[in-house]
Amino acid sequence: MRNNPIAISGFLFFLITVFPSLASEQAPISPDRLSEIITGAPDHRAEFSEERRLVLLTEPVRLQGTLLFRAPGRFEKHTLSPQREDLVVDGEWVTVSLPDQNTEMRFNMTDDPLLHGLLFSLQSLLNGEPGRLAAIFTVEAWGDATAWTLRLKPSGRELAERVQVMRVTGETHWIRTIELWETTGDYLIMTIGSEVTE
Amino acid sequence: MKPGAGRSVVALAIVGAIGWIVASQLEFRADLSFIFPDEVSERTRFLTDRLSDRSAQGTFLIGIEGGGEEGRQRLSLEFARALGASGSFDRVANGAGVVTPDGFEYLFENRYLLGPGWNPDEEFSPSFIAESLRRGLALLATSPGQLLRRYLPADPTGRGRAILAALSPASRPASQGGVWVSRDGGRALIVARARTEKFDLDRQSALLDEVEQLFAQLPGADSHELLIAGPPGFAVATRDRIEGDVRILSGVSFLLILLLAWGGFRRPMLLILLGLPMGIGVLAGLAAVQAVFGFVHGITLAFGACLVGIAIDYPLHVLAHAARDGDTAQSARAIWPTLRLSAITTVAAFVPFMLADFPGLAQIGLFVAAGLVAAVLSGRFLFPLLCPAVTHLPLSDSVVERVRRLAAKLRFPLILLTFAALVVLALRWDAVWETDLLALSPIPRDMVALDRDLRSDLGAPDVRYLIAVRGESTEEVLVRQEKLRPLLRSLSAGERIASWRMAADLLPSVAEQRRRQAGLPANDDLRRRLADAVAGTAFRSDAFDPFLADVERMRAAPPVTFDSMAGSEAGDLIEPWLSPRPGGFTGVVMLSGLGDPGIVATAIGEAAITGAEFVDLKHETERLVQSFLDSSILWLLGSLLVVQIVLYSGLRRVAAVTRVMGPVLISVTATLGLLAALGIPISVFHILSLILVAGLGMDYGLFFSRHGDEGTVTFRATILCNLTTASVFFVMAFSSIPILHGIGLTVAAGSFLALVASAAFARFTE
Repeated sequence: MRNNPIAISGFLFFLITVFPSLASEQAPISPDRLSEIITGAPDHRAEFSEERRLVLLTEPVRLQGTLLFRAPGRFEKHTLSPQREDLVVDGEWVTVSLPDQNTEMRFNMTDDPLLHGLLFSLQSLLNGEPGRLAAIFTVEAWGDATAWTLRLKPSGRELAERVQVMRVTGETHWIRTIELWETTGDYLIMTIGSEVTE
Repeated sequence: MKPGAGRSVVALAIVGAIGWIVASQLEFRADLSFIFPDEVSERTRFLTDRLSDRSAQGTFLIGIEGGGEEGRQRLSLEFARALGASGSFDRVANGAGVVTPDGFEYLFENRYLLGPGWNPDEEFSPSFIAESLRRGLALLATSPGQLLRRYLPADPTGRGRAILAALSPASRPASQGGVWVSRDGGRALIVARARTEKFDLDRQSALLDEVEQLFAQLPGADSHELLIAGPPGFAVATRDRIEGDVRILSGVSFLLILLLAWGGFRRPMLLILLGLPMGIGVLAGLAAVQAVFGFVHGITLAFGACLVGIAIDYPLHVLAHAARDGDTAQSARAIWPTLRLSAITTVAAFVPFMLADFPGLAQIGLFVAAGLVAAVLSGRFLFPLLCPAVTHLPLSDSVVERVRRLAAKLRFPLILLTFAALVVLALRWDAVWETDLLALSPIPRDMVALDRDLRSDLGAPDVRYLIAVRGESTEEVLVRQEKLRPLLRSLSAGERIASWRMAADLLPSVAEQRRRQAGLPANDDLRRRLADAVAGTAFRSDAFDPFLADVERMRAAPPVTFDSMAGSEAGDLIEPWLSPRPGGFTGVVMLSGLGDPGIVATAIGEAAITGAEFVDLKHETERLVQSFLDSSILWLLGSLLVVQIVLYSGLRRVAAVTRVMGPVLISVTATLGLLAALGIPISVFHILSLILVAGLGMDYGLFFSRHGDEGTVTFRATILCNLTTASVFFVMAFSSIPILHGIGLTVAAGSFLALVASAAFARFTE
């Protein structure tokens, strides 16, 4: 099994679901403490890279671009490669435009479980409202203010049908990585670079 | 206590109780079926289908105006979501969302059998598959790709998209920020279809309230305006408008009659007594129509109640003729022969309509006939019991005398007026008649305009042209539609038509499905082609096994039929396009963007495809309205003939009949001429109103032809009757409901002319 991303992500998944504390090697954080640590990010911009490891593919799809956050609750994800896409989240509503294909769509994030999980957790954490996560996830947290890890397990049936589990790491009010394991075996990791406050 | 007061209370209580019983038994209808004949032709059936279609009856067209662009979009999103979550609507569309329509999964399961055709040489060619995979890979790097990814393993070539495209409307509304907007962008648009099975007025009204409440609860709603059209909006707005108009009308009538009762007769209580025969007449009319037809159409009630309104004349005659001793019982006895003949002739005028093959005409005929009989009987026998004496009469003798002398001078001008009217009618004969269906409906004009606006913004203008394709079975219809397709293609290529939609585009015939199945490649063959295309891409070699399995399944699957689809959600998508008919089925081919309909009609005629026929719905509608009008004119002539016979059998002298009928003909002709001169198209409602005018004219003429020594008394009574009638109907002429406006204007002008003409030619003016 030479460098198979599926196998690797599957193994990681096994690790964090069966031995969550092993995977993090950190002390648990109480929900109260968590909301003291994650207090909301200021308006900022940051580079991101994303890797989608799909069961359909032998190699990952890699995306790159810029994230933009405007408190409260509005953030934009501008993908620059491999093709341009502008995704704007405002409250519950998502607008996606593909300038190259001249298409624009608008939908509620709850319309699609996968995007719901991803965008809702990003939004709640950037807003400094980790408590909101409990609305759709069972939340466990480890670490301390300088390096924390969240394990989010869907609590609703609809979300659980598509999403196995998510893991988010960060320091203070910044998010570093978001990982998402799908029930299909597909895996996604988004890594956020250093932020430029505006 | 005045004499008769105790009796009045008892009588009112009894009438009230009967009214309550009648009201509890009524079943109202308020659709346009009113004007459809009992026997509808195959062509007009498309109209009735469209008007009674369940999904059309429950479809709300919604616009949001005001505020900023961003605010409207947000409101549209939140509102559509609230409508969907309310549970009352099964389809809410505003351009946003990622949800595929109900029934799509079924179509996807059978995607190579259903939907637009495909060429086996292209659909499964290595180059097409390779190109599709490249596009699929690019899609996976986007958010829409995240949403659609689950279809990719089974459908790498995007056949599902072709199916989806066939389902979406030919022209899409404009879109702003992913939300439908009007062409100028100033209005956000939503279409919502209600879930309910039954669309009576109460349900529509409840739905409308719900829609308005849901909107009002949204944040920011108060700075925006909500516009609602579509059949439920129409129905409720029409009812509200009629209720409002009726309230104003009855308020004004109330004041007028109060003025008459108090100022004229010095007895305010008369207000109720004068209205009593009229009320009894309306109840009798309702009861008779309900008993015979099993339902009462809203228009019958509105129109019939107006017509029976002339029944106020009956007690007025009794009162005004009690001049000498104030004894109403005596005067009722004295005028009864004249009153009876007047009522019988008016009823006789409406009797022929009861035999009309249009249920609407028949209902009005019956309503008025039954209503007037009940009203005249209660005027003769009940009214004197309740109001035994009258002490004061309006209009002094000298005033009456002066008016009478004036009337005599009007003979020549009236004859001149009649000739002028005839000239106007002759000059504008072709433009005189109303052939617009909407003019016959009680829907307010501004609602019609709003509906047209929203429809055109939504890219769904009213369909006017179609091809009806008949067959003994759904299969035969589908085969014939497929035969029609090459012609449609060439018409479209030659830009004679912009687009078309038909059942066979979604559900091909069994023969065509079998042909498609034969074109699906064998498993090994497809596996080889797919492997060639996948090699060298980022896709895993087994990524598209579900695709292989699906194609193999569809190669052997039983073809989809109308019946097998009917049970599923997908059945909803095909059912409106194939309708059962006696002896078979009819499928409609909707055509849009016709440059020259004549060329298209000729091309379809020349192609001579069995069972296919070009239909112009607007033309059909006009034909229907025209035949309704023709039929009412025919019945009008019939009723005039009946009236002559009744009059002759009552008066026994040709000269007397002429004296009564002459002024009637003058007033009817002059009124028609007046309408034509004002450019008001004459509809069936004007015709029916003219019959009423004729009835009133006969009433006046008959009373004027009584003995000369009672001239002043009769004249006073008739002026009183006419002033009351004409002023009530004059108020009605200001109604925003086209029908009420038409009746009001015709009766006010006509009855006044009838009075003047009757007075001018009466014997006592000589």
